[in-house]
Amino acid sequence: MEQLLKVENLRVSYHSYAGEVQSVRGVSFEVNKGETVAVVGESGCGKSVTSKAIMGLIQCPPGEIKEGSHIYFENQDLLSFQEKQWEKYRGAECSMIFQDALTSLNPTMNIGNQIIENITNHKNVTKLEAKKEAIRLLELVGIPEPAARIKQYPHELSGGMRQRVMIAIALACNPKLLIADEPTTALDVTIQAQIIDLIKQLQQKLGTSVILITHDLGVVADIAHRIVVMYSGKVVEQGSSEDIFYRPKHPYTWALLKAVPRLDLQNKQQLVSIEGMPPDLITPPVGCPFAERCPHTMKICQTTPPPTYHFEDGHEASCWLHHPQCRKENLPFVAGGGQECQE
Amino acid sequence: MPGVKDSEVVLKVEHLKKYFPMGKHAVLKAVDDVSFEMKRGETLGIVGESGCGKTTCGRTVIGLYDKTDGTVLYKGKDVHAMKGNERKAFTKEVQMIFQDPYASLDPRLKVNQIVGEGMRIHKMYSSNAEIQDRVFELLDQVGLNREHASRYVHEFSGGQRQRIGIARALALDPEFILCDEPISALDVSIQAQIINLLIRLQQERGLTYLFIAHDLSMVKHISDRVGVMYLGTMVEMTTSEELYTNPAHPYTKALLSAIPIPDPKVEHERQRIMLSGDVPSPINPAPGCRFKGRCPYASAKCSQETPVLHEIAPKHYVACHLY
Repeated sequence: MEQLLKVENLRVSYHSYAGEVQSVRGVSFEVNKGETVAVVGESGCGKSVTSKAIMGLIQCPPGEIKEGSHIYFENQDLLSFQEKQWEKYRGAECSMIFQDALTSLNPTMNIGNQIIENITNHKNVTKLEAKKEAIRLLELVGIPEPAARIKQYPHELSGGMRQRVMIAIALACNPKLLIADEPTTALDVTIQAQIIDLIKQLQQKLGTSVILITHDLGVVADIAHRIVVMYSGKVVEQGSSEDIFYRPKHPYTWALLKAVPRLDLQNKQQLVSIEGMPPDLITPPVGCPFAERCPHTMKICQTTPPPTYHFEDGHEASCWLHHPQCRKENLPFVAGGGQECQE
Repeated sequence: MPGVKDSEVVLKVEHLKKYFPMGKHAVLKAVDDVSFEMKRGETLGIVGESGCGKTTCGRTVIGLYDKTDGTVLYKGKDVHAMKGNERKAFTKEVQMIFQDPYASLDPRLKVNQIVGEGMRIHKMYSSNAEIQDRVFELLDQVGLNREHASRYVHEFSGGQRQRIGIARALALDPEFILCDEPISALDVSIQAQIINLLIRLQQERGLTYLFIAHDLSMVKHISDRVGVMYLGTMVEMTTSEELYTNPAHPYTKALLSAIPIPDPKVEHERQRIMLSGDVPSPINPAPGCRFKGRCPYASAKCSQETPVLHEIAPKHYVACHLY
């Protein structure tokens, strides 16, 4: 498969009064053409900051992308772009869907004009052609009576419809990469199912690559080809969807999978919970960031960051449990057997 | 209605209606003829999409909103007719945990004051030292420590704030707690902590929970019985096991089918029942079944007659013309 996007050792910090918040601390992953990659993690783990960096939306200051970070899009380093190049890239090559559709849409413009704006900015077409294209897009995302809806304003639409409009705007110029930042978090389960299904269909139809950012592993089971699990600004595990769901190699991933109550579970049974809270990223822990909450923590976890172990098919996990000398007793998953790779 | 022994019944809701007038000719029927009973120590879950009236139902039940019609009996007394000391005793026994742990705690008070406020109002202890001891004890029970008592709310994370909210609710030794989406604002890893805490507290104190949420898998996990609401009406009510193994109402089936399952193989194979469209507006709803517009089995009868909740199997109530 051909590579579309490659994030290499991305480090992003925000300067605040309390000190430097190291939101993203060395994230690397790849997205191939036509692939859906899910980035999963809890709030504050840096998943949204990573996506903003890919879109060039990090405000500096207070944000800062550290030296040595690279984001390659079709072999061009995005971080060396000038503002003019960014403008061409955003919307046309790569576009984004945000979590809260109501605040992301312009309340003073009807939805038709918001789609047309994106088309005329990037393509040399007349207003009428752009309008036709807008109607076609609204139909594509499943909005009934698109020709009439085009004159409506965001407040006249329901949450699910707004999210569909956002998707229509994002797809207006046939981008190669679509970043969906928690597109369904604000929606009900039935609408969530509709939107996820829509993204999946469009992805298959148009061959767009998708980065889906979410905190809910359940949502991505159906749609993701590969999954990147993030914790406190680092990638702790990544691999194919099957690897992550059936053969997790990191205690955090394992606990995340267990924390969701499954319908076949005994009622009122205690759930597997991850005690404690994620660490403060102003003074990130020296060792493994998950050490404090990990039930299998060892002495070395507190002092030295774990190396990344590579398993087959691009499955990798950063955890000391895979070290050959580590005792592998009472573990909920199979450890060891990976190839060590220290950065 | 849904049958439980009279002696154990804590809460009895009969034909409860709550309408909000929206201008001259429009009425928003947020809760329209809902009936249920709850017995001591059980958890009743109420699920539904946003705008289905589940929060309004909960708040009307504990008397935060005035009712439009119907009766709510708490231990045999009408909640909406209580006055004076009776009302005060009721507000002590019935507590609430709110959805948004950021908005439901006073930012200008210390945790100490937030948790202790109810105890002062109800004059439960004679001295401040006793209240202080009790606050420490409560914080300990919900998994916070003593030092947290002298801090302000903004210093806490979402999960910790929700624990403060729970400590506040527990401070008055309540018997009945209305949990209004207590976990939906929290991260997945923290949700399990809060649910475990609620289950443990129920087992220790014999609390009765009315648990409102839109996350069906969580509701199934914590509830003994589950009621499904759609546009102000209760469409199905049964034990949580039965609801998930034998859902009867087409809406319940669709809701269950929309739950994402964290298992790629199962997800790829299963056939989803997709509901088209959104929840219609509850303003001046058309007569007949509220779900008819989105229901794949809708017939002429559905637009003429409003289905009523009736028993189709032991303890399984459905409001649908199919049964």
